[in-house]
Amino acid sequence: MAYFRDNIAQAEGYVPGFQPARADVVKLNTNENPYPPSPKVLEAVVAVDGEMLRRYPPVLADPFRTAAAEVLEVPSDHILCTNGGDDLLTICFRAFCDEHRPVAYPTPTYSLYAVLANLQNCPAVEVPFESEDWLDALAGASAALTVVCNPNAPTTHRVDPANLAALAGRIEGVLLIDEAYVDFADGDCLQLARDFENVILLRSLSKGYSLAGLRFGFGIAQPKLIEGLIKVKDSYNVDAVAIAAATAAIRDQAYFRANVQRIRAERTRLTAALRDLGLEVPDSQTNFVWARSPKAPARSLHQNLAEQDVYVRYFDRPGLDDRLRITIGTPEQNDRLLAVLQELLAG
Amino acid sequence: MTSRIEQWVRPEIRALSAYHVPDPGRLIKLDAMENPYTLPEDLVEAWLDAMRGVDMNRYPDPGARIIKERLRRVMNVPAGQEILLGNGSDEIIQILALAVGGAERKILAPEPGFVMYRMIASFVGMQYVGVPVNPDDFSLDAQAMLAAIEAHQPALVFLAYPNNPTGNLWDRQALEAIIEAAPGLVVVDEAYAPFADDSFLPDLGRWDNLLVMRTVSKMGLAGLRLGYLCGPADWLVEFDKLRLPYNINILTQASAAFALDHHEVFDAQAGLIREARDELDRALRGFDGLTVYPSAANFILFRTPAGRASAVFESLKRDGVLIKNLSAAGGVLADCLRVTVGTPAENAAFLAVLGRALARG
Ligand SMILES: Cc1ncc(COP(=O)(O)O)c(C=O)c1O
Ligand SMILES: Cc1ncc(COP(=O)(O)O)c(C=O)c1O
Repeated sequence: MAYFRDNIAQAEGYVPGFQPARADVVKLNTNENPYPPSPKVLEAVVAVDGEMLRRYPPVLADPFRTAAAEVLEVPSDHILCTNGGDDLLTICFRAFCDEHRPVAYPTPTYSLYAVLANLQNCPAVEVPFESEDWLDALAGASAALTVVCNPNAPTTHRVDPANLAALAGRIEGVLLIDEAYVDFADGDCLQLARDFENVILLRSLSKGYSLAGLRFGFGIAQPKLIEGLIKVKDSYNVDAVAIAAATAAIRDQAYFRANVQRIRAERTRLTAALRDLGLEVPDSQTNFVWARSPKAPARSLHQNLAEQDVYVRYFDRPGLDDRLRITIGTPEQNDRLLAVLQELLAG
Repeated sequence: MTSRIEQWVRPEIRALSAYHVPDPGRLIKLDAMENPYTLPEDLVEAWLDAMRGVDMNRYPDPGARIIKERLRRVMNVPAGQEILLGNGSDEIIQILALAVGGAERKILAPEPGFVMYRMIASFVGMQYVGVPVNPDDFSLDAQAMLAAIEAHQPALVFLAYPNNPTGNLWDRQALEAIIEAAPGLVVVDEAYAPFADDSFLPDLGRWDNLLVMRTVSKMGLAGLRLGYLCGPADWLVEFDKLRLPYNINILTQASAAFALDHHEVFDAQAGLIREARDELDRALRGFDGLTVYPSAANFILFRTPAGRASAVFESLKRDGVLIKNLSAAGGVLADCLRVTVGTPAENAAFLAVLGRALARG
């Protein structure tokens, strides 16, 4: 028997960004937040008792649902907690897509969508953001699941929620709006999740809440969708320690706002400084920038930076391979990046 | 206000409150196969210190190398065999099913068995074949298993060893014959390994289609969510493509590494649970009318007199002890209840109210 399904045998899987073993490098390659999470998070973790470790966690992570509901002003039954935003994406692909039920999304975008489509063995309709009528093309794709990353990775731009509302009204299937980077944007699509029964938002604590290590994300949608997705998720998909930490994080909105604010301030500074060095950098709505260097090939810049212990992300794919994705670091990390870049571009 | 209540609420109703279900927080929970022992205070402190050093803002190591290295050492994973980690066993079962799945493909397991095998088969659109065990003692019907494997050619066979909810180990020879006969993968699910005297982990490598799955849940870390699958690298490379790169969070990685460094504490707790299980088994056999099934796990399945299981279950609950009622499904589990082994004090409390529950009918 050929044990594996063809699509698995041929699959590559998702390739995560390089994780340098040493801690003293400038790591701007996986869109993490350079700052620690709210001190309340560690307090919550160290308040975890042995009792919580030995018992199975609450199936729906109720403490987090309650806290998030208060902060976001949606009922708690609109929230589904997941093992990172990635888990929500997996759950949605499993719930909505198969050989006869395609997914559609505008490109370039988060590369996991294509990976999941392949693993789920569903057709993927890819529509370039560049094309004039990309919204019409999505609306006409008859997809069971339409995914729009907003703000988008890696391009850092943001689509007007009104356009997505119109899209939600035009499609038969589900519209998943991936708001992993929304913490750094000028607005969100929360109202769409309240207004449309076919809209689900993805949120993550990895970015604005500085908790990439925790693996905590959540979906926001009307209960009809949430209830269906609960059937597909693993029975205990987020653990007890993570629930305690995530709940503390979302409750500390003051820390969150200040944390996001310092990244946004650095984003403004870094964007301007990179432009001064001659790079093309579109305005970013995320915690990273998408920079093109007309002077030197992105591939060699990326390598030369790594040789000096500055790690940024480079995608060796047509359409992406002329740019670098650079996560916003601390002012010191950004200064180091700028100094090395200046040297490389001068030489 | 009190007087108005007395004036208007019927006395029978007011009296009822005395029978209310106890606050679930107060119930003695013997329903979910959790380890009843918490960690010693000093160990909790040391664990918390380990947590303090973790950079939570960074993505975890996608390869989770620290846990794998310790698992390999502590659990004696045979050389040449690989390890895949899951966010609980559930995630591993899903990954396995998705890797080999397809509308024509089948999952086969003895029935009654762990419910997730059937549920996940249906999520991923596979067919599920349950092969009934011998109804009198829940032992494996080896002939029926081999015949079903021949007839259905399953892509995946799951064998929970010990089995949930029956608690027994299957006959080893029968399992070996099954592994040899199966055209696809055979997964021996050893979730309850800490309480059993036999394991297929040392057998890895004898057959190229054998995988062994385990979890830290029953050893006392159900709150953590960490399952692991051991088997030949050629298989695990394929499964790994289906795993989300960051599926094990950074605190779980640090906690599991810490727990494995102190595995002797968990081993000692498992030893206590085994002793308590054997004692509980003897005590249950002392009740007239109960059939008690031998267990190699941290729970015991027993059968009440016909038609009494739900009443006994409810009576226990009213008296503050929650166990698992399996009688609703009927069939071979009609009249069956399952109790998780607790501390000696919890078990004594359970036995005391069980006496009452049985006397009540
Ligand atoms: C666009 C997008 N969506 C979702 C995620 C998943 O985030 P996480 O799984 O860390 O919550 C990421 C992670 O980088 C992302 O870039
Ligand atoms: C046979 C068996 N396998 C696996 C599991 C689940 O383990 P985990 O907590 O790792 O998901 C259970 C839990 O009840 C079980 O009985």
